[in-house]
Amino acid sequence: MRPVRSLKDFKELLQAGFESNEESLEAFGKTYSTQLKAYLVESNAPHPDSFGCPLGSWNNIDSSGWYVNRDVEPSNTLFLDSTRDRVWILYSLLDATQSDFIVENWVKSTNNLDSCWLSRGNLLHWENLSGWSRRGMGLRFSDGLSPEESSGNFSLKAWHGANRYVEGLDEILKIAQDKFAIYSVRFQKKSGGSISISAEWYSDGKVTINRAEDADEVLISVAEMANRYADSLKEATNLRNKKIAPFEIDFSKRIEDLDAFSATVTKGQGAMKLWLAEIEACQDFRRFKGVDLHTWDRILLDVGPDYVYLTVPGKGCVNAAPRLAVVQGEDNAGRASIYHDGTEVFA
Amino acid sequence: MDYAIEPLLLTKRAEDKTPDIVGSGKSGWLIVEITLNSGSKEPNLRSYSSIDPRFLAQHGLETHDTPPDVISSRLSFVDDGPHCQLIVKDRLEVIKEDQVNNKLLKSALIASRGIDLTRLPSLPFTLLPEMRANEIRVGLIEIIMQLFKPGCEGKSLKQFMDEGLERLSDSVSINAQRILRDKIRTEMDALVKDVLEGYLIFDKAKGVYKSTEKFKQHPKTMERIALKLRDWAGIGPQKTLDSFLR
Repeated sequence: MRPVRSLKDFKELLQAGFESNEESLEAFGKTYSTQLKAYLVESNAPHPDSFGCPLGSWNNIDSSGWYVNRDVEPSNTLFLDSTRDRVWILYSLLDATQSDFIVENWVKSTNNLDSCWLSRGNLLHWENLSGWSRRGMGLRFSDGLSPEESSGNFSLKAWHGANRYVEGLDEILKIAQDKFAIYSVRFQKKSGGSISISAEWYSDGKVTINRAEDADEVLISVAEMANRYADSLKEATNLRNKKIAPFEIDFSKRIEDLDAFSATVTKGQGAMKLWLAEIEACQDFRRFKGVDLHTWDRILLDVGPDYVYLTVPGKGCVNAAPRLAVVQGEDNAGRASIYHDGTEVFA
Repeated sequence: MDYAIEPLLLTKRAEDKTPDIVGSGKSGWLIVEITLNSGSKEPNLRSYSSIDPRFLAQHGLETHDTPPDVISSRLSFVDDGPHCQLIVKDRLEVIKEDQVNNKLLKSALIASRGIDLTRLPSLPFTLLPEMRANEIRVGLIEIIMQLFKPGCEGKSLKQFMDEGLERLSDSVSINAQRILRDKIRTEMDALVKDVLEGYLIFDKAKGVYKSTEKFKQHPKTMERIALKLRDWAGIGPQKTLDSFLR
């Protein structure tokens, strides 16, 4: 079996998977092809060595900042691109269930690592690029703060081709996406008359490549999203440093149960990763102070009926802003937009 | 406009003056006195008009050859004489704005009149030299919570102060910092000896407050500490999910 020692090897392995080329796959010890998954990971440390590997151990390949997992079965299944300071890309050739479990645990249990929480603008980014077209979306509203018997949860996953066989489908999707958070979008890219990439992006920074023709084209498209997110982090950090204003997250729905919100963050529970103490309360407004468990940086949070002010003092990590927008939006507050002193960020 | 907090300045008769906030920019300079005192501040405010503006340069502020605009800020009205007054209770009240000479400042104050102050976003700095004991405790809450970060080596009094002052840190005079540091010491010592006894200690050798191994990152423990910090800071009882369900 041939180990992956170079970026070229990695691309050849991907290409063999895309072509379901048994001979090429066998050379790398694989008997069948799995869909490529990539996870955008936000990091506050410069090198991945200090974090350990989600499966086995990281080994350098020939290109600086690139790693492969070894010393485990199955090896050559995880690949890390840490060439950007703040946003890494973890590529996975594991089966979907195993892959999600391993990567989510790695991110969740490691201080200084977080997901890249993709806003609506990020998820729909491909629509503005030539050759790309939308082929479906997933919407989610868990109503997680309401008691189970009265929760008004909503979930919709709609895939469609180039034609609309259900009359009025676009209108329904438009109404639903205006009200609820988008948690996944499927896009296709056409080149030379055929589909060159079919991918599904998720709001937690994951992408599944359902179909592709060219490994380079896939890696470039994933890197494009990573670069956009890295730029957003930089822009948001600069705004926070220069201006005294907080991040303002506006939601399309009311946060109905502030008591339940308060109880969750006081215990440091939930996907928001916040541990807060409530310091001011009135009927539809709460103030909190505490820490972001992602980095243990300080966080000041003011929660109104359909908005949140988030202040990150000092040099704290600003990734809490998109995390809150995505997690809170999908859980109970619907469509979310993030602003800093009137400028939309993470858009 | 750049600013300094509690800077030492001299009048033209070489008398010491330490106003709460001094701001200076191209359009002029101003002094703001913040008080909860029920007596009139008129004599103090009047004396600020005789501060020699050349001393602004000692604090890195732009100098001027005119007297400052002097403003007082309070929670309720007390007559402070012929000076502009800001009442910062629930809505911003601006009184006697005709006393302000700086046109830009005057129009900005008029434009801000009536804004709701109750739901303004939290500010990134959580400590100020003027703060009383309970305000300092509230200002320290999340800085204390950081001590429970796994592997945290603790924080010194200076770290508590610098982090609480955040971007104000360079603008606060040395003397005001010394006084603030002493106030923080008093509150932290009480916290360690009583409210969070067993969870926090003061490491004399290293001069830092740090957490002990008693802390476990468990929801119950985290909730208990968050609620103890609220009580310590004098904030009323918080509703929990349990009380909500009862």
